[in-house]
Amino acid sequence: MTRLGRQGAACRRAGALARGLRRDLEDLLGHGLRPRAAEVRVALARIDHALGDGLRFRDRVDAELGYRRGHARNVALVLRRTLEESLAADAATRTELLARAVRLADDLAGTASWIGRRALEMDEPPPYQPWTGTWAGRLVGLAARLLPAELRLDFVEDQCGNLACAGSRRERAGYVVGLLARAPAIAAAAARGRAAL
Amino acid sequence: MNDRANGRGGPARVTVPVIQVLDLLLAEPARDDWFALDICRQTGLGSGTVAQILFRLQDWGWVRSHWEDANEAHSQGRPRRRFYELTGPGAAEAREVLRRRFPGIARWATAGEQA
Repeated sequence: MTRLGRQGAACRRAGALARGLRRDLEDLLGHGLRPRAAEVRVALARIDHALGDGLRFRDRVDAELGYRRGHARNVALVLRRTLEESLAADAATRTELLARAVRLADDLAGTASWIGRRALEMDEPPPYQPWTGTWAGRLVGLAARLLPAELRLDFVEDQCGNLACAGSRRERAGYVVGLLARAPAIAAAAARGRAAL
Repeated sequence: MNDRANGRGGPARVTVPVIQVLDLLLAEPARDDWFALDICRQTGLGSGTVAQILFRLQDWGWVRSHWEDANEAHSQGRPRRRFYELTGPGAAEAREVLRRRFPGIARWATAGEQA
C-alpha cells in the first residue's frame, strides 16, 4: 500500500472510531450515565493516533484539504476538552457537555472520512487512455499524480500530445525529464490556480 | 502600475522565465495556438518550467487555453494538445511589466517615450 493509501485508511479508521464514540456518547446521554474516564481516554487516544497517521500530508495539500485537515485537528482537540470537562461535571452540565461532544464526534467522523476519501482519490492513477499506456504516458502520469485529481487526465493528454509532436527522441526525453524534475512546482502552480477559480 | 494589478491575484514578482514566455507570446499577440512544446523550443526553457508558467499565467488571467480539435489531433494519431493565447488584459499587463522592467528597449516603450 502506498503512503497516501495508508493515510487514507488511517483517516477512515479515525472516522469510524469517531462514529463509534458518538454512538457510545448518545447511549450515555439516553441513559443519563456518567462516562467512564478510562474508556473515554482510550477512545480519544485511538482517534488521536489514527489522525496522527492520517493527516500527515506533505506537499499535495490543496486549499480544501488543508482547511479540513486543520478543522479535524481543531475538532479533535475541542472534543477531548469537552469530554475531559464532562468527567468532572455535575449532572446538568454533563448532559450539556455530552450533547456537545456528540455533535463534535459527528463532525469529526464526517471530516476524517472526507479526508480519507480524498487521500484515496489522490492516490488513484489517472484513468487508462491509449496514450497513458506508452512509456512517455506512464512517466507523465507519474508527474500528474502530484496534480489536483481533476486536472490529471487533461494534463497527461496535453503533455502526451506535445510529446507526440517532438522532433527527435532527444527532444522527447528532455521534455519528459523536464516535467518530472519540476513536477512539485507544476503541481503547486496548478493547485494555486485552482484555488483562485 | 503595481505588478499585483490583476484582480485575480496577479504576480507578486515576475521571474525571468515568465518574462521570456511573455516576450514570446507578445511577439504574436493574436495567435491562439501556442502550445507548451512550441514555447519550450522558442524560449529554450524546460518543459516543467513552461508548464508551471502556463498554469500561473492562467491563474493571473493573462492567458486562456482551449483544447485542440480532437478530430485533427486523432487523425494524426496523437492526443490533443492544449492551445494557449494571450487575453486582452493579459497582453496589456504583460506589456506594462516588460516596459517597466526594460525601459530602454524600444519595442516595449509606449508612444511618446524615449527608447
